[in-house]
Amino acid sequence: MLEQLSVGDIFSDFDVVLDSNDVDSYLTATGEINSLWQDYVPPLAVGARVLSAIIEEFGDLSGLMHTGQEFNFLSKIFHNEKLNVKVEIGHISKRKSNLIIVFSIEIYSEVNMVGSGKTNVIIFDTEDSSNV
Amino acid sequence: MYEVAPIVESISRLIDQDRVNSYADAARDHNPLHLNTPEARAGQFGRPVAHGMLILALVSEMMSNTFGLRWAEQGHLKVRWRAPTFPPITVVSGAILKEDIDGIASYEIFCESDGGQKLLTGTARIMYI
Repeated sequence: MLEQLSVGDIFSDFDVVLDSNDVDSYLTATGEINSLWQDYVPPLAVGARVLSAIIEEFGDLSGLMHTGQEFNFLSKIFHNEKLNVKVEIGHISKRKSNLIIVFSIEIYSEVNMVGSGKTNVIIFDTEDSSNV
Repeated sequence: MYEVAPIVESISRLIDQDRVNSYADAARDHNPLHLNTPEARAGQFGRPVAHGMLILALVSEMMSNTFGLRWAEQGHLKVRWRAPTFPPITVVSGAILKEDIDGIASYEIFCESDGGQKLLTGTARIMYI
């Protein structure tokens, strides 16, 4: 499936909502303490949720590695704010038998873009012994 | 907010397997590569690797500590992971001011092991005035 993707293809389009429990779980896990996040969502908590949704699309996670990340945070986000995420293929290439993909991400709250970014992953061909 | 670009205070944190497991639940990222699973032990590194985003979280935290909500409204981050992070490990994040022009501060950011191995490098940018 991945090899059939082209630059500009929509990879996924989904909604994300983080409530106060989600934010608490994120803060507990990361160890971050900041009263700002009593009402607002830490920007990287949104990024983490977006990334997990992208990874989930792959199904088989073996050989996938997150190698780079870019984020532009454009607006504070409230707890329970409904976000729509659009993910496109920004780049796709092959190095040896490994696949390199850059996902371009746009995050909207209603019609306003509240964030954007790029996620770089490499998918190792686990059956190619030259990768070992 | 500031008249000149401020110093961003570094953060140090233990990243152990319990924290990685908690992060997997919080982020809903249960890639077996990160957990104490047969897949992780049989994989490329022979043991679990912490989520890259868990390491990056230290960078966003130190920027929020310095710039408050402005980081969520105007922050820019661009990073690459340089080495896998194997728990347990104490990770230290840092930011070095590289440019301060017209109220926009650019920092060279990094996370490294307490032994000095770079785990993540990149840039962070924000308008601070």
